[in-house]
Amino acid sequence: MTTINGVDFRQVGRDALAAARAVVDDPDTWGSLKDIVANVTEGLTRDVKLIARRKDSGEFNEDDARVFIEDQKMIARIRIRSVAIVGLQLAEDIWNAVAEVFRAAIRKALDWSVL
Amino acid sequence: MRTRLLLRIAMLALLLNLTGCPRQLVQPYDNRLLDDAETLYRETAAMIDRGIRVSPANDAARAAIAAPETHAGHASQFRPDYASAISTVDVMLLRALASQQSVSPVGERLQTRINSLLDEALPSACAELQADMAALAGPRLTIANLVDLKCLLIRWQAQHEDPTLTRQTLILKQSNWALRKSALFKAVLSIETAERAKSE
Repeated sequence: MTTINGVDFRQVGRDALAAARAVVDDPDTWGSLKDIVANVTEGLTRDVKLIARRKDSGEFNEDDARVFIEDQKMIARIRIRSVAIVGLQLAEDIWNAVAEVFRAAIRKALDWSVL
Repeated sequence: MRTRLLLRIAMLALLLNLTGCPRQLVQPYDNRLLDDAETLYRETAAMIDRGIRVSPANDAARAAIAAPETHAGHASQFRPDYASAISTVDVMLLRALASQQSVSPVGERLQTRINSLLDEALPSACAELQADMAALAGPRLTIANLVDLKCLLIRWQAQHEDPTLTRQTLILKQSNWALRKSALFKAVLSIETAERAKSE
């Protein structure tokens, strides 16, 4: 029995999923996430090409490569964390969208005003 | 009968859990962080451009410099620039720390986990700085990013003043500077993209 006080919670579940999907489907959200991930690989490839060119011309030696790698590790940390922030923000948006649908339904079903 | 009741209680418990306060998994959007990031980019890019302009192209050209201490590419010529850039990041850190709003316990746990995974796979080049900041900021990803940005700038100054890397001249080469430009762009872009995602 999924109906409480006239509120059909199966339908509420379906509405919540639709709300979550709307957040996930939002092209801007996925755009920013995809961009960061794509950027990680593209940027590194560009750098390696730059280094190969400069090594050939004698502008770049082993010590230069060492500090380059050190810098890239720090950049990778920032980029991966940024992906996580976007991911968490997305998860947060999904969660809040779902919660909002249920909050309205519960208010109606139980006559409680939930915090 | 009992099973149905238990099921209903379980469902209600789940629903009530879901309908608690809105879950905050990350530190909320701060548009000033974007403004500061752009200021930092501009001033650091200007320093890098100057570095490219005045620095030798290769090891041979650098070795041929008669008086490195007075050369325009010498580390001493860039000390005010590094200090200014680090200062700008400190301002960003201060703002982010001061405006820390509460994140849900779930958010704190997730962020702690992400930071631990990162530290295992890619340890920071500035362990001491990271330890100091962790005491102030906890696991906040946004702040951890700013700490890493500060670390990058500190490391850049240390590299510039490294006799081994600079072959005793304390002068970098154009290629060192060019790669820094690329690194700076990526770092600031990541930070800005993450911040903007929060506003949408």
